[in-house]
Amino acid sequence: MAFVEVLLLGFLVACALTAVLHRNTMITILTYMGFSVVMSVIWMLLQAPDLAITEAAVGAGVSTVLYFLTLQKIRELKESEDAEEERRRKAGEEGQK
Amino acid sequence: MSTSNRFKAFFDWVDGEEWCAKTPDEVIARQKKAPVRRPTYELDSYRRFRRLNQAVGALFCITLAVVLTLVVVSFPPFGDPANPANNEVPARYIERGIEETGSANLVGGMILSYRVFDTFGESSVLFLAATCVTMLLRRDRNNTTSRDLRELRSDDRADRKDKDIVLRTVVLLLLPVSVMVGFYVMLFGHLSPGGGFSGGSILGGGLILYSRTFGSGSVRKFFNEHLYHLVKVVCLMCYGLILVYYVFTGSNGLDNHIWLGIPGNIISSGIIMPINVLVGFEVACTIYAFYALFSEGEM
Amino acid sequence: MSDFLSILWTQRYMVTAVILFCIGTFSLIFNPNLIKKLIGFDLMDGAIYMMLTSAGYIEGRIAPIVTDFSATPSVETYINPVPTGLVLTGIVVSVSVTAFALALVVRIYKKYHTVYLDVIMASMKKGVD
Repeated sequence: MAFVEVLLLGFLVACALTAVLHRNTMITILTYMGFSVVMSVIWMLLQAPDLAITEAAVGAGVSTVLYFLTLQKIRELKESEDAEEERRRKAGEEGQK
Repeated sequence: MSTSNRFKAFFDWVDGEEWCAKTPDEVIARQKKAPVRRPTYELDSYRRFRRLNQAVGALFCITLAVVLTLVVVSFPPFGDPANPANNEVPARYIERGIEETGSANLVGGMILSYRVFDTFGESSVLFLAATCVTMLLRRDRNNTTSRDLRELRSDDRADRKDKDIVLRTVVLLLLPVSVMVGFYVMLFGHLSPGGGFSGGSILGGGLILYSRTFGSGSVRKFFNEHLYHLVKVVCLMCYGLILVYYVFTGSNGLDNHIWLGIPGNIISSGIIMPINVLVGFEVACTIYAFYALFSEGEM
Repeated sequence: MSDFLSILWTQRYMVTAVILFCIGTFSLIFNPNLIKKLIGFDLMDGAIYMMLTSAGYIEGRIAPIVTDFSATPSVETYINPVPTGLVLTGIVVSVSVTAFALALVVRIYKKYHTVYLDVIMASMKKGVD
């Protein structure tokens, strides 16, 4: 049992370090999701099944979805900006001709 | 695109922030929608400062860790029944919890009867968060320029469906299970682990899956913005009314006439099961609203 | 020294919580990326919840869910339910705060076209309103 505890707690720390230090935001979010899943296993070890259910539904489900949606939204904004810039540039070139 | 450019684009993608403006000049250029002039100045000093900043930060956090560890070592030992946290309050909750609240899940019984005011505050926080996100991200003329509105209207994303057969089949198999588990966790919150909040999150997750796979138009057929506002407000108000009755009678020493039922039955435990259901519906609505606002800007 | 180590082993959940809290603080204060700042904030939340829950755990006792209704539940059977209830409330508040903060991040990106705080500050210094 002690071995399992050490494994889980070590995994938590490793996940936290990776999430904070990795440069890719996508990997940060995925690692945070893993953190939440392991956290819900630890709630079971600490005899708190209410927390385990809530953490698995909220931490690994809802907040990860929200982070992903933020990334997607930002990427869409950037793409629409780029398209607009391209359109203006082309219009400018044609105007010069 | 030359090979080196392609490599650079790939590494930018791995770094994950190719969508960010890297310099102030780029920010200004994008705000004016002018071509970007590659800058040479000043951010170098910021980057150098950033590196110094992180070194100082690591030092600060290691110091914090050492100090906090020294504090934690002098805490009462882990798992000891004689800890000061295990005083007469939890003893009372455990010994008289069932006869006073009728709930077999003592945690759920505690937070929804002895501490129901606290939990009402939590629901209000969720309500406020949903309102604030609506204010910030709703697609209307205060939040978006006319050009963005035109573009968003042109590609009507309500009809955007995922054509992937694997995803559709898996979601069709998973959706009934997730809805059923959500309702189970919600309705059995007083007998087994769970409760309104976790059940509502699972239901909301099921709605998100459905909306993602079959397009938000198919969700709008049975769950539109009007229904969302109705459910959100009515659930919170019913919860508030139950709370007011319960706290008023309790604080004035009156009999509240709430039938507690036989502990262990499904219909039992007085106010706990209705409150679980109300909170569950509110949370499911709020979570689907978060998803809809973040992905499309409207319900 | 071995005395200290044995105390550290007894308090393993609290020590892990301290480490997670410090990692979260590092990310929250010193990472320029706003999304990673939020991740750090959530890590700090998790650390606090872990500390509270481990304060309520009692060795050899089970979760406070009664299955035998014939007798009055005895205190010696169940763990302390109060920290679990507190943390249950806290998780809800933390997801609300995360959603609100992410909405703010989207709005900041709309205005400044970046999520790096140092770039935003440099732009503000250059007179971008």
